[in-house]
Amino acid sequence: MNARPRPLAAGFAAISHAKLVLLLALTTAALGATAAMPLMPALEDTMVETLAGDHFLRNHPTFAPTDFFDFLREKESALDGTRRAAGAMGLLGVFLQMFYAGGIVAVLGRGPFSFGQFLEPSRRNFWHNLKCFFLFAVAATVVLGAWLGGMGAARKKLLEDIPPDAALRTLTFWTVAVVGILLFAALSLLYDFARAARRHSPQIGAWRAFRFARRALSGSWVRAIGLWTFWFVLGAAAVLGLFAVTWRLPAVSRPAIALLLVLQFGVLWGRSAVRVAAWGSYVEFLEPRARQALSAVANVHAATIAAAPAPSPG
Amino acid sequence: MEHSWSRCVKGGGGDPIRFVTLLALLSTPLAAATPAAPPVVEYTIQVSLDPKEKMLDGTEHLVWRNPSGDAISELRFHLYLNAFKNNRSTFMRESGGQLRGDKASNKPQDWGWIDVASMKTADGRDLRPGARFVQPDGNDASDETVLVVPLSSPVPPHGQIDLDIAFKAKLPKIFARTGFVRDYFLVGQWFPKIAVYEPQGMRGRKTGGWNCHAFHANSEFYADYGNFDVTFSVPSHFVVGATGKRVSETKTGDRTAYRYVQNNVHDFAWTADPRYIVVEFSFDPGKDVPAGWSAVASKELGMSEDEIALKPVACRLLLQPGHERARDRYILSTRQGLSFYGLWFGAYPYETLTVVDPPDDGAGSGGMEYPTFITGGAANAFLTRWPFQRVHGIEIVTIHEFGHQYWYGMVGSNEFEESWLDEGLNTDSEYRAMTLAYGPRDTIELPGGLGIGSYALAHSEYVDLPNLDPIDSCAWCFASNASYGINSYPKVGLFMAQLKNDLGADVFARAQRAYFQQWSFRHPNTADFFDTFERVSGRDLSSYRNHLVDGRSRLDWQVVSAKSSEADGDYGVFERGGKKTTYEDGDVVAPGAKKAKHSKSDDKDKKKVYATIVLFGNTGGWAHGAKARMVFDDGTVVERNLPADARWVRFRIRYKSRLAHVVVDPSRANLWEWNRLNDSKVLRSGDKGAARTLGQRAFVKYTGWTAYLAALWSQLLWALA
Repeated sequence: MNARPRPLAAGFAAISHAKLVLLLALTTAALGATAAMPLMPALEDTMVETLAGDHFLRNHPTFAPTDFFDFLREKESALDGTRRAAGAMGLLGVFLQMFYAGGIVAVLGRGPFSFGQFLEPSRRNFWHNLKCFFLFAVAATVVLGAWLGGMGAARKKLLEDIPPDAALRTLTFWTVAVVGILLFAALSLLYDFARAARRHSPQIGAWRAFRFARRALSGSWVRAIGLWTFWFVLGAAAVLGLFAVTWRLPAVSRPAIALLLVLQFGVLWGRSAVRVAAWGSYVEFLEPRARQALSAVANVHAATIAAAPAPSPG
Repeated sequence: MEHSWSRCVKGGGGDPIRFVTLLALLSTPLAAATPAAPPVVEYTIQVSLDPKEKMLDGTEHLVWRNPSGDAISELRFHLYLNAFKNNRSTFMRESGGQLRGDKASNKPQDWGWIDVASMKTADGRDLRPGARFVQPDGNDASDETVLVVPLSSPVPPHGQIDLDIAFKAKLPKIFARTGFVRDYFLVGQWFPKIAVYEPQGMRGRKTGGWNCHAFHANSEFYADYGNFDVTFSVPSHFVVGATGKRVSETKTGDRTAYRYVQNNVHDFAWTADPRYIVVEFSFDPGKDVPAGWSAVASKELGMSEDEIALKPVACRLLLQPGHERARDRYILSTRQGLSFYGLWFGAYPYETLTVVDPPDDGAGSGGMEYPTFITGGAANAFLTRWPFQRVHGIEIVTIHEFGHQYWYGMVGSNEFEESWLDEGLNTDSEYRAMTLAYGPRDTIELPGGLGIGSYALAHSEYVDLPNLDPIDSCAWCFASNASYGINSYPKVGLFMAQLKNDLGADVFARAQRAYFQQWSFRHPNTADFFDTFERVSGRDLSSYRNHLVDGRSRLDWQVVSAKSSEADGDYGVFERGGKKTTYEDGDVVAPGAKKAKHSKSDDKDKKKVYATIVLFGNTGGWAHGAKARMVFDDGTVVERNLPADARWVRFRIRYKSRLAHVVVDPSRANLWEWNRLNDSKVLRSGDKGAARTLGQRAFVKYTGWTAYLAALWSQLLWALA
């Protein structure tokens, strides 16, 4: 019998599904490009038809900032349009990732797969994922709202006469922040595992799926949160690190601008890879726990406790 | 190249520029004004602070000397702390309980007030029962910040009155400059302060009278110069600082009384906090003036470095625990302020300077100025760490507040009525000092070489403001707090920079130094400012005053249209070489022929000519000239002046090369210019040097950035959902 890979190793292995990572990266790139469209005429007007483009590109120390502020004022409506478009694309992106997640949980860890084998469970599980999102959103709002709001008010009252540099202020701040992050991590894990439940029980409903997730995580919270934290930190480091590189790149010549665009896409690719890797980890983490969790939440015949059919090779 | 131009002239021509020989003037620096002797006011105050109740209990001996030829039958006092007495004061109603980013507390123990218990003349008569509160600006009837004290016998012309005043004050919780938070006390505007009696002729007055306004949300202060001798008593574990020099320290039981003395100032503030970290440092002109500054100032002023030598100053920084990273920045910026203002205007004349670093929860007391005593800010642990340590908030605040030692401190303009004369002039000085110290990105420097400077920020504030008020408005007369702020600070910074560019750095520096020297320890007004500048520069500056300071005019030169197309050849009959020749599209029509005979081989020799037409216009209300620059594909640059009195100017140029781009005010000397985006037009990226532009690349790059940031936003939402 083959030993199952550890979750972390499974996560890194998931990145080898290059098409999947590329799909996520291209999706976000397309969303970004669409959001940028309302601004393009204003950018052409300003960058190409006036000397402002030169000032920005050459980073003139006084002309560029002044032109920038004039641009913000003169092209306010175009900027507003772009902001709204970015908001709409962001929302669309949230729905798209729910769609993709349905396919991701079905195909990862089961060898090569075709787009059809990916898209079919994506479609099938979309509504389930939407319901899971709703439950997650409500829970996160209530739990985090209560924690952060309540602790914020308590802190304000308790520390009113405490000097700003007092250790107690720093300690309470970080305690509230860390616990808040852990609460979010826990809710996020429940949400992801509830979506992953469809891998093991294709008909399971949203509410049962959350109970399944809770059962699966029971006794393994520390390990699970450790996994979540690892991928979260890796993702943040990748994005911030690569973003810093793109930020600092002067990019005046044509090759430099081309490199900048490639690096920017690289940031999107990197973040998408980490997301796919995280899914790979969770799916692997869930495997040995799924059967027991399912039987605990559903009075089901053993025959129905079946994974979704593995995709045929090629 | 052939060109012609035409223009449309605005009504009313500009006055001719008169140049005055300045050698005689400049070789003998204007004699600096000196304080009046004896001074108009002398305060001797003893006060005790009860830190638990936040109360002051004090007695004040006031000597007031009538500076006028009028017999004065009443006195007027500012009782500033009553602005914080309740929500019906003029200050609280106008501010809505919020100012400078801070919010007033509604708790019963957090209000502030001042009560004058008695006010006795030398013969023992108590004037307090006859005193009454007035609202001189037609402001709220419940406002108690101005007290009128009728006198039983008038103070004769140039006479004197001595008063013994007993008062109690409750300090408010800090939200606007003064008060307490925990055990930190910043005690400003805390004692009964006599107003300024302006004799006839002073600041343009037709008759003498009191200048005593209510304390408005947007106003600051105005007082006579005099001597202060203040003793304040606090529990011994407090660390203190104050205006002036500490002359004694007397411990009695568990309290200590500190006596501070300072002459030739118009206010006194002090502070106490048991947690201060005291940092004593000095300003040594031999070491602490930044390299090169003395030489630059000397050149601009036309004075030797010896003539502008500075004096040592004993400085004291009262730092908050947790702000240790800000220590060196405070010290450096204090020295930069002492250097810049001293070199360009005149050496700081006082022996001491105290710099107070407020706590994060007392930030409302920061960013303030009192004679020889300033409060800083922006020093919290967050803003002094990477990547924010190049956000020069500490430097800006410290240099600006120090600068008020000059504009308002020594040149005592009326902050109620003409806030631009202190805040605006000081903002200009601060911009210049910061640019000298930190370069064009003096405000914020970000990683990656990006940054923003003072003038760019000032421009953004100026253009974002609805143009409702002129600069020269009384502080409470502006349409909004934002209008007060922008008209008093950055817009004046731009005005002064415009003036400097037009007069030249040297003339401007000399004029401003002359204004400082002439009006130190006196109370100038807007007319005095312009009189000095006109006298020194030899120019009529009425256009600047009428349009930029007293008016709301803008300047907006723009490229209205620009086109460049292949010019037609000659058509018709021309007298050339003494004979009439007929041409058709450049080709000669042979005698008797109906059309020119054109062969393709002629094209090789035919030189293309382009007709370029550029129209510039000034759609702003201020008639002021600009330079225009037209750049052709082959790199040829043509520069012309756009006259001040023109509404528009059109250039027609026939040249062998197309126009690549055109720009008005290429060096951006016109800081008053409203909109820079319409200042240039690019027809095509040319072939050589100055004609090449990179607009297409910029378009691709910044479209990419927009898409990238929007994509990252999507990914962030994915991460959360």
